[in-house]
Amino acid sequence: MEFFNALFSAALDQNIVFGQLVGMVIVFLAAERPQDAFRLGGALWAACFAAGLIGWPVYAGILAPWGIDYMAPVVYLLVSAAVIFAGGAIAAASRARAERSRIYQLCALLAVNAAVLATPLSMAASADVATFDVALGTAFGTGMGIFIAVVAFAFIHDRIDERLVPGVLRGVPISLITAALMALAFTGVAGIAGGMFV
Amino acid sequence: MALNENVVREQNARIADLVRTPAFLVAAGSLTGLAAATSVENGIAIGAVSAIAIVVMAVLARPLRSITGVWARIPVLLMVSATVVVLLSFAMRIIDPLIYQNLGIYLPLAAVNGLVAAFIYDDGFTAGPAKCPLGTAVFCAVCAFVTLVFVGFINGMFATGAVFGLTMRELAASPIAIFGTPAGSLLVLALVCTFVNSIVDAARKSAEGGER
Repeated sequence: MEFFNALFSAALDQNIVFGQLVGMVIVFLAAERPQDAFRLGGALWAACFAAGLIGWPVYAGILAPWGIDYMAPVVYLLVSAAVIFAGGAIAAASRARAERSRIYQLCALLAVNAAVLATPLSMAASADVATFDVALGTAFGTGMGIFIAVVAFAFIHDRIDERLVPGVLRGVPISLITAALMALAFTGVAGIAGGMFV
Repeated sequence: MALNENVVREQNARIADLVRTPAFLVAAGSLTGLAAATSVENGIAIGAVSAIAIVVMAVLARPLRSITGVWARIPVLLMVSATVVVLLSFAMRIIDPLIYQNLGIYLPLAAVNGLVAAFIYDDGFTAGPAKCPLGTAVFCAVCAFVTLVFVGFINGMFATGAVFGLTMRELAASPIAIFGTPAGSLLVLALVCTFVNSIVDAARKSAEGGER
């Protein structure tokens, strides 16, 4: 039950995009290509899950005992980038050159995403009290949260008819207002999703 | 299919135009630290860290790219960015430990700020009114700093009724709760971006008027 509690808390109550405002830039850019929202959201889900899964034992087993927790951002970025590019290299094996180039660009986009760094950092902040079940659920739930955010925002943004939007609000301002309304919606479910499994 | 390729090409062109607009530069530079800008002091701190990270990475990206291989480029640049931010965190911890604690994980997240990531991805990134990458970085850094300070000012004033140590009785008695939440911060940022868009529109209209 702790696993499910942590999973739904991370995905809905403390959604990393609309609850903590992390990784919003890629959500805005993904909204311009809604047909790729599922694929990009899935890739971010996998990247955040991998980063969280590796980050927690790295912090608990190496950084905290050796007293070098200040090195966490450097270590997490290096480890996350290595895992993402390794996964990309495996996915790009025996593919055409153009497809390999696209996979490399996607890997670069995932490696520089703030959510991939934020997932292990936020888990490190609660590493003293978290068990493996909670860490696994949090990592999986954070990835699920960013997947929900990318897909939902892309489809909602696609419904906006910019001809009806005043000139100065077109583009970034209307996207930010839409994101604010979605953040309010996520605030509305706070405390409900995670509390279902207590 | 040819139609799908045209649609994708149009979408890519729209994204390429979008990321070079001043409003997007302001938003991308500010979004990573937006949740931490809950007061003027926090806004100044996270704004300063974000601004310094953007300028330093813009300066270092090209020389580092020239000495790294294709596959090592992104991890090396990310590590340098994270190291810069870790050093800035040490400085913040010495200058004001309370603000350092308030900023939490948002301080190291400046290493992957939207505009830092843009310079990691493309060291020749030029956008907005600037004509060179360093000019773009300085413009973005100033905009991000000013925006985060403004957001912190508005959030602090309306959510707690206190600003610069002074308390406004009416606001302190009945604060506007939305300004202490992510939704409120996003609305304030939308206001700033609307203001930027209005300046850009006015500049374009005066340029078109001058040409006629």
